[in-house]
Amino acid sequence: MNRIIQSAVWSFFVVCILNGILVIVKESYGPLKTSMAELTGHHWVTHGVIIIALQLLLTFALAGRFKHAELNDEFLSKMLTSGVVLGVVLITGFYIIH
Amino acid sequence: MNAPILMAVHVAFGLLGILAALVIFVDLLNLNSSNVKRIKLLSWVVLLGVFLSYVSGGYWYVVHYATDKAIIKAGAWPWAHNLVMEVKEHTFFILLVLSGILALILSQLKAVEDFKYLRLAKCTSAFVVILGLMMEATGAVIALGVRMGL
Repeated sequence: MNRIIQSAVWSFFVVCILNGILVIVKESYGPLKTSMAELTGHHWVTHGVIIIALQLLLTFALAGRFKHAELNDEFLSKMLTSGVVLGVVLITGFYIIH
Repeated sequence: MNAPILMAVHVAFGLLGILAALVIFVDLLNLNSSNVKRIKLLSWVVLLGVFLSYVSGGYWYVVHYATDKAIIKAGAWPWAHNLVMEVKEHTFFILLVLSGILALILSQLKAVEDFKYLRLAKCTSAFVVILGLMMEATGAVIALGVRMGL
C-alpha cells in the first residue's frame, strides 16, 4: 500500500501539470475543444474523465517503480504541494493572459 | 431537479467536504489513539462530499449554466465567467483527486506510532480546505456576476 501512496502522489503531480496543459491546449486550439465536446456532450465532462482516468492509470502503472524506493513523508508533501501550486498557477495564469 | 436546488446541493456537499477536511487537519495536529477512528471515517466523508459536489455542480454546469453564462458575459462583470468560472471549473479536478488521495493516505493510519505519512496527510487535508474555500468564494463571485448582468 505504501507503493500505491507514493505512486498516487507522483501521479498527482504529473496530472496537475497535464491538467493545466490540457486547459491551455484546448482553449488555444478550437478543434480539440470541439472534439472533446463531441465525445461526451461537453468538453468539461471529457476533461474530467481524462483527468480521473489519467490519475488512476498512472497510479497503478507507476506503483511497480516504487518496489525498492522509499520516498519519505517530507518529499511526498513537497511533491503534492508543488503539484497543487503549479496546477493552480498554470490555469489561473493562462486565463489572466487569455 | 431544478437549478437553485441543485446549486444548493452542490454548495452543501462542498461545505460538508471542507468541514470534514478541517476536522481531519485539526485532529492530525493532535493525533492520538482516541481520534484515529474519527479521522478515518471523516476521510470518506471528505471524498463523498467532494464527489457529490462535483456530480451535482457538474450536472448544473452542463445543463443550466448556459443561461447564466450569457447574462454574465453581457453584463458588467464578464470576467466572472471568463476568468473566475474557467479557473473554478478546471481547478475543481485538482480538489477531486486530492480528496481521493487523502482517503488513500488515511486508510494507512492504523496505529499512531506506525503512521509514516503524517506530514503528507496534514498537507493534503489543508489543501482540500484551501481549494474548497476557493471554490465557495469563486461560486459567490459567479453568482454576483449574474446579478451584475441583470
